[in-house]
Amino acid sequence: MPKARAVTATARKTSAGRKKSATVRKAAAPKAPPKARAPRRSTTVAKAAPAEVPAPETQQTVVPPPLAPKPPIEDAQSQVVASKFASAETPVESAAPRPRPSLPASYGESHLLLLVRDPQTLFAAWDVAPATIEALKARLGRRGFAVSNLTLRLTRAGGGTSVVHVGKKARSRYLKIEGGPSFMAEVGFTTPAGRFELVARSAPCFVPMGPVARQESYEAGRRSVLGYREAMAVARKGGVAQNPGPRSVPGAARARALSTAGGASSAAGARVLGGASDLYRR
Amino acid sequence: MFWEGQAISIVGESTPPRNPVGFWCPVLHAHLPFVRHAEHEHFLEEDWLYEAVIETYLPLLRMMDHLSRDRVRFRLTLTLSPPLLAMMQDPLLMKRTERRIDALLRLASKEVRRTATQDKHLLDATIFAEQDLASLKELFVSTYRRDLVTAFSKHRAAGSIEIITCGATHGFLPLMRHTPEAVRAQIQVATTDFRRIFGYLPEGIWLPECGYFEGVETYLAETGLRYSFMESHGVTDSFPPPRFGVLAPIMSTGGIVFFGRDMESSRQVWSSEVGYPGDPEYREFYKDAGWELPLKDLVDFMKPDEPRRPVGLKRHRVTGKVGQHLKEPYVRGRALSRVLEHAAHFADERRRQAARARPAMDRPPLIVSPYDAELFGHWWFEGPQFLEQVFRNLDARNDIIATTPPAYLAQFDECDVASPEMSTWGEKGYASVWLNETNDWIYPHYDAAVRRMIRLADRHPAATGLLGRALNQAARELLLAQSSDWAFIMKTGTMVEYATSRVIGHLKDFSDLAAAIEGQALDERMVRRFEKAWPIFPALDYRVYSSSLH
Repeated sequence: MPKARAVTATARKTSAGRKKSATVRKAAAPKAPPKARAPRRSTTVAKAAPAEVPAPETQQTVVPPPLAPKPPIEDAQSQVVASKFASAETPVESAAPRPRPSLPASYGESHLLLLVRDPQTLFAAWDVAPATIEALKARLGRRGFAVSNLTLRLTRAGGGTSVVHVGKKARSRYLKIEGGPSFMAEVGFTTPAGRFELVARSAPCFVPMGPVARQESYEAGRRSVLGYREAMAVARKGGVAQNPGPRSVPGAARARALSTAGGASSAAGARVLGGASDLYRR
Repeated sequence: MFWEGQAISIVGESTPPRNPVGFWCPVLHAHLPFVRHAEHEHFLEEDWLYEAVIETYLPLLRMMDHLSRDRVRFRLTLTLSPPLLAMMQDPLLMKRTERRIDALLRLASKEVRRTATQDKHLLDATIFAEQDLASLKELFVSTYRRDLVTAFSKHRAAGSIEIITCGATHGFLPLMRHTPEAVRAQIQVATTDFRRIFGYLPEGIWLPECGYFEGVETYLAETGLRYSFMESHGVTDSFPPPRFGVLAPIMSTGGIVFFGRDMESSRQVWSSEVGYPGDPEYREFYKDAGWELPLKDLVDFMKPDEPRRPVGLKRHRVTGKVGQHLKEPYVRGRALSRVLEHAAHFADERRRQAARARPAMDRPPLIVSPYDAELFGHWWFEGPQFLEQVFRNLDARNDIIATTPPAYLAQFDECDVASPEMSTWGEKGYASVWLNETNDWIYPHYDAAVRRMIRLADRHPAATGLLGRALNQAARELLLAQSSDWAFIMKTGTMVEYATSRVIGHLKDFSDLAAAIEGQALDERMVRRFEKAWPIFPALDYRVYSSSLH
């Protein structure tokens, strides 16, 4: 009898986010071990800092432990998809393709990666080039550098900047956010005098906000950020109908109700229709 | 063979009415990561492919053959991902698949003899399994001649299925958004490979993990793609919210038509809790002969020193929420009765759903139901028969019309224009399945490799010969490393060691190739070794990573 399949779940959500009761259909399997979490790092937060989700130790190491803890599969769909890869009850090493090499801890260039996980969470990962550190030491002095804080600054388009001081050995962080739609991050060192020495800047990232928040943002004049301009530019370039803007926004709840309950609204509102088949036949 | 006497008799394919109650657009997404390890006679992870072929792809083809034979009108959209296509066209893997069917047949025959004097119900279930395997082998070897791609293509040529593509290696695009070259490579390599195999460009694409981000349309449009699919909240959260929610497609401001997933029909099939697959009469997924039979009987599947694992011979039914030892033998006839009931229920629910929405819409509602193809047959054994009966039911009543995106768009060419936001079909609807504490360590490495690949492509705009091969192989390794399956496996906890070794192995191979290219120290043997190890994307052109394309 299978004994360790990761099919147990105490709660599950459909991908539409609806919570459901959570007994598992087919398996009588023990609960998977809880997810490993590293202790929270001591940080100093200034000026409306975003809530910080501590990074586990595995982020600090380049090669993760051979067997990561087995988390529960929480939704029905993931459970089904996981069954495709359920060749063995426990991971087997006998047929590993080749001896596992390691990856470099640093790629020798200063860089900041900023990714969107969900509307409330960003993931930042950075690399500081040894040459950058040496240059900073030369400029600040060894003692000056030693007392400087590695700092992550997160700026919301049209909003304020949040500052998080992180440990010098940290290489990644999850960042709790509010609002949007776009953020940009910088990593650098804050000197004892409070000066920020920039090391790397991320590309802007765009956070899903939902229609109501997007309308509010739009009407407040903050919608004209890069993401929207990009979309408009694409539309212009392709000769496709323009976004009609906020005038024709019916209630979001109506669309949701329509989709989930099958009821349709006849209130069309002023909107632009695209000729799908025209485009399709091009 | 199981349906003779049970199928609804259809003498000719019906003509769909112009104004039906509604449309139903089933979408099956067939994908597996590229698992080919020719250097090993038996390789554990290749089982994923064998199981999918035996339990899903062959039964689905058999279902289509039955429907075509009976002239039942059916329409289905099918994603065949590039890695899956590569494996389906690989003679070695198809030969090994046949070997697996043979091994299962031998095991089933042995079990028929063993159970003959023990348990009549178990004997019946075993005889059914043996007959089913024999039927599948006949199809695979004699009918399709181990060529599943051609078998699917025939149904496409008949107009019954629409085959679409996916990301080159199923890379999760929302987390590549910051590097346009990486997104472009996933899309362009996929469409190029699709054209190489099928001879035409695909019109639609399944975004890996249904992962949409604002701006992905740019990359889709430049390769000639016209439509894709989106998770339901991606459509309903669009700005402005579309009038009909997911019951009609939208056109994004980027000029691509998106079909939104209907959650009601999804839940009925995906969920083992409230959906059909958990019915007590259906075959149990987890109770497998591999866990129970003496190891000496399983030598075709595993070595004595290896941990036990499922082999694909399953002869019990779900029974109920009981321990595995209390599962009762599978009774095929009872399961098929449930299939008929569930198919009728599913079709009636779609009728009700469409009838409810129809008065408030200016066109018949479109219900889009995407599923992982492997749900049908592999996870839910009776799934292909369920689909077959749904098609038969809809065709007999001719009120809800099964359709494909191109067929629908040919009839209804107006869509609400809206600007969708990032969405996926993963748990919680965004990226948390593919970006969390179990797998986030991979992304800085992906990012560094992509930047290095871009530099290489820019530095060598017209490389040929060995340098060109090395650059192409570097791009290949990078693409293979980026498969979303690795992050998913790390999250779900099955086969983590393998997923980790694949990510690191491909990135290390990429790094070795890049270093050799940068140091002008290319070794033909090294390049050849990597090419031989991963024979996928023969027409790959590394210049897809060139930043000058932007």
